[in-house]
Amino acid sequence: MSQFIYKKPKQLQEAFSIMKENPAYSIIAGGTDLMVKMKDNRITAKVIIDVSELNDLREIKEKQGTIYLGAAVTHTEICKSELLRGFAPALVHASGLVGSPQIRNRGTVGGNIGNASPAADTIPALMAYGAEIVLASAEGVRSLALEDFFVGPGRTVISPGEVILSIEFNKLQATQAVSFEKLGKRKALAISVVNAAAFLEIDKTKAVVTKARLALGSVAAKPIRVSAAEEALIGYSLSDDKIKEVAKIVSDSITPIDDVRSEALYRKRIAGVLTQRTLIDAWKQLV
Amino acid sequence: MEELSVVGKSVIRKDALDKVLGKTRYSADIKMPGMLYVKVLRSTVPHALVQKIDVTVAKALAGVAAVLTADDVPGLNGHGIIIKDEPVLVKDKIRKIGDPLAVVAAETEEIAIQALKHIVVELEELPAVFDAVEAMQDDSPKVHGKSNILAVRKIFKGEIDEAFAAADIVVENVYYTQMQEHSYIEPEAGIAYMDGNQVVIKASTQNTHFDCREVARNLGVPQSRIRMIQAPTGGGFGGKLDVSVQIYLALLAMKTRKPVRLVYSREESIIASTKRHPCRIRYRTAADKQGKLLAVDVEAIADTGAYASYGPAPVTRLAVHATGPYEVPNVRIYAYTVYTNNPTAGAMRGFGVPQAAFAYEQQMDMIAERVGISPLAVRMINSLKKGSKMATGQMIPSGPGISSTLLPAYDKAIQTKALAGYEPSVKKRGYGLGCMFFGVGNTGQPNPAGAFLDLLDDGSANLMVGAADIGQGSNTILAQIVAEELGMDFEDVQVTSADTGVTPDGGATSASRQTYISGNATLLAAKEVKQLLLAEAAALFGVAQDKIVLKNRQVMVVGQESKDGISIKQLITVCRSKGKMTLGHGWFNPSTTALDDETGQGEPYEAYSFGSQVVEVEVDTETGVVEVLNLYAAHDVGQAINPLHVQAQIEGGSIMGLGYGLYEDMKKVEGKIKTSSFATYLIPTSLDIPSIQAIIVEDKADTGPFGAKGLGETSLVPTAAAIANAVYDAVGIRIKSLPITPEKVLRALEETR
Ligand SMILES: Cc1cc2nc3c(=O)[nH]c(=O)nc-3n(C[C@H](O)[C@H](O)[C@H](O)COP(=O)(O)OP(=O)(O)OC[C@H]3O[C@@H](n4cnc5c(N)ncnc54)[C@H](O)[C@@H]3O)c2cc1C
Repeated sequence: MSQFIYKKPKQLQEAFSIMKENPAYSIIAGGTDLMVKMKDNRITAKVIIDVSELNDLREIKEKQGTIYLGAAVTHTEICKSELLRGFAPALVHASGLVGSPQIRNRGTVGGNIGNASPAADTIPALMAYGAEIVLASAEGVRSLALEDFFVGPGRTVISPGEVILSIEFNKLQATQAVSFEKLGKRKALAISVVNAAAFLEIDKTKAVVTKARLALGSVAAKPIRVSAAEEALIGYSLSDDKIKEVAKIVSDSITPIDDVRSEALYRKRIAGVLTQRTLIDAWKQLV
Repeated sequence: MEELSVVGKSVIRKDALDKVLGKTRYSADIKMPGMLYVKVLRSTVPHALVQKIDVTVAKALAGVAAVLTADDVPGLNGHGIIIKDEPVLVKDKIRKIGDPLAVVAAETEEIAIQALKHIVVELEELPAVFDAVEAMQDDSPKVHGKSNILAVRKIFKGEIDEAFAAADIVVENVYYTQMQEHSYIEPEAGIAYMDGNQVVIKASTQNTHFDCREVARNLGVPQSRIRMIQAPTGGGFGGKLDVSVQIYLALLAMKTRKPVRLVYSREESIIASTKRHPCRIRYRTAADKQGKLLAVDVEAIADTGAYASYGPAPVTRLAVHATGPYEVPNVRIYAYTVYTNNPTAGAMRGFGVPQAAFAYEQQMDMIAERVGISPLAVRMINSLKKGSKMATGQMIPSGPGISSTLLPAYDKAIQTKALAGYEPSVKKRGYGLGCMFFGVGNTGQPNPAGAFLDLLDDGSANLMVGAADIGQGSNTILAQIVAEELGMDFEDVQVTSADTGVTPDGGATSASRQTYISGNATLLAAKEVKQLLLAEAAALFGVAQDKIVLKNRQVMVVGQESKDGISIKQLITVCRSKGKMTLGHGWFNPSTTALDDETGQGEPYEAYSFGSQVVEVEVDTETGVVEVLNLYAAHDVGQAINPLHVQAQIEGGSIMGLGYGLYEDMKKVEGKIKTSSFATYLIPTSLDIPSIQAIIVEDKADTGPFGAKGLGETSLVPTAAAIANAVYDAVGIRIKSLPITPEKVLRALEETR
């Protein structure tokens, strides 16, 4: 690891000015991704800016049906939040499956997103909730759909001088449900071989799907939505055949890779299985 | 037999408190003023001729104290447990990725790393071989000399071809096992410094006396000029039997006359250290209609990688144990140790037997199925027992074989099954059996250990043993043996272990041998002291020696225990008043005979441990994920000197066996390890560990201290095999290659659908 200067700003504005003065910076929150990369010199920033205690990034709150989740909230805090347990249980489930207690105590949702790993666990869950990401800089804030934030492994559309401020999504209605599932090679400290989340909105009287989002991780260069599969659900009830059909669309439409953690073909199969399981679970929550 | 006071009790281990308080100072915690930091330059190609290693620029860097290459090794530039085929620093030929080319000592770690970057290596790459079966071909690239076949172990017994011709049932399969990492919690580390003209090395190791011999040979100095001290060691499992940092440290301490320190990162540890041999085992079994075994015919090919390390020894052990704990009248075994340009394979807990068990235990289940009897029945009717003959012709010296462990493990599993409410779904459950036997100590080789005992004036004692306590607890066990024999308290015995300056040679902490062999040596040392005491006491009380008892720190006359005796301390005072010292020594070597080169016949071990495990698994038929729900592990240890240690060994070994069965796989592509950290090389976490019921069985060995046998390795041996059998029981598929990954299970399930 090369030497660096460590800065811990108290105010967001202070963070912005440090960034301006030191263009070769890296942001650190929990450091559970960054430190790994620094240790083997994949990142050699001269200045490390710690955002983990900036108040603006630490909140979990609800306003007029929208949930605001600060970027520097840890997975453990997500798991403990009454608000999120009530209105975003699938996110709580995803955060609860990240790493181990030690990793969850330090790792943050903003870091999980900022690291832009195709296997990140909270991202498909948040995409299923229809989350937006809010970026702040000295010039102001902008927000975009979470799925538009990623470019490829480790690459995002964030600009120099910007921080991830928060993630925002609507509280679930009584007609809506989300489910998340992960398959890793062991029960803790296992990067997902595949992870998947499903959002369903139904018309309760007709018991048919009116809106769907299917998001998957570890099956492409970035977390993805599978719109063909989502569309195949609209207007239908969730019969066994329908579930199988949708799972097959997911399986067929992805082109995952072989790597040290698993095989492409297995990932295709598992993407189908997790699609089925999340759909069934989300449906069960509603009917 | 008289009731035991200290042996058989779960006294708190000597090292426990310091370890849980974080006070133990491992090698990496030792700092000395003026200490230099050492780094090793390693090859990134698997096979090449070295043309030039230019260190001029590196040497000239500010803060660099020394840069050494092969030319700086004053003695033999070779080391290795069995043959010295591994260079200390490569002179002309690189044989694997990770081969050491140069070492640097510098004032800081950063400077040492910088210096490595300034070493210029010119080489000519050679075609390489990464598959042991290919390596056996005449036209394959050669790693050493003219053939890649380093050794062949043959075992022949009976008339194999006739037995197969006459058999009702023949089962034949090919099994593959993977390369496994030891995954000790502490990577290799050490420090060395000069004390006058003696080089003192403190390092993480399993065998100080071996290290001392290696270092002395490489430095070209007498062994007495090297003092090798074992630092508290965070696990070894066979991987710290080979030297790691020791020789580099000694060379650099001599060269610079300063303290030098070398600590491997986890990645360097994984790249540089030995592994468990990956094997291809072709296994053919013949049986009659009743399921009685008639013959086995085995060909095992083990990839030992670039260097021999312990190589031929685990492969020999594999061969000796290839029949499993079963009586087989006709046997033919060929076991090859083969060089490749892969990472080196050496000793690892189980030493070849887990590979064999994965094959023979699945064969047993297949025979049972063909005959139409249960897996339990096929094992019971074929079990070795006292007096039955193993493949090497040796008679099993004592005990009922597997039945004393198999039946209790099986009963526990059945009782629990009756209680479990379980609804079949996409997840299916099944049970599997795995049985094993294991010879204690090195295979057909002399492997003695010694002990010195000094009973001090106040009745406490110093025990000095070569046996390295690498976390398994030998310091505690050996103190218990002394305390028991001399009627002392456990706390009275202080143990100094594994220090070539003060302790006798204890041999390796491997082969499940220290409790048995160093235990016996310690017991002999205690008996020598006891003899002195008894003679004095008999004279004092005017009774025969056999009327004297030492117990609870007291010296008593049999039948007069209520009367005031004297304390052991007072008896020592009597000895001292006559100018008598209370010193004892002992050494023990198990009686074995070497295996015949051509037939493999002989008596390779003095004592055998047996064990049986039953596992319950759940297989997710949609994802192929296998979960072990329950593990019942019964192991015969002769006498449990410390039952808590036994339980811990059974749990630890079966967890390692679970990792071997389900998760662990050192993946490599063209000799390059792809899983060089614990992010990608997966071992079981605490959440992956099932409920483990350890069942301690005590079939005493006449030859062991208080009847004890070895158990360090036994509990790992049958676990993977039992899991494979349980998967078959659950979903009807046979996985013949380790580990049993979800990918393999799902593929096999799809093939049967
Ligand atoms: C042993 C281990 C196990 C793990 N297991 C899992 C797992 O199961 N599932 C999983 O998804 N992940 C896992 N991870 C990865 C990691 O823990 C998570 O991604 C975690 O959420 C990262 O958060 P952090 O706060 O530690 O990020 P950091 O390491 O601090 O930062 C990660 C990246 O995000 C950037 N960043 C952080 N915060 C901001 C911000 N507010 N604005 C802009 N950029 C920012 C940083 O610059 C950096 O590039 C594991 C990591 C380890 C070491």
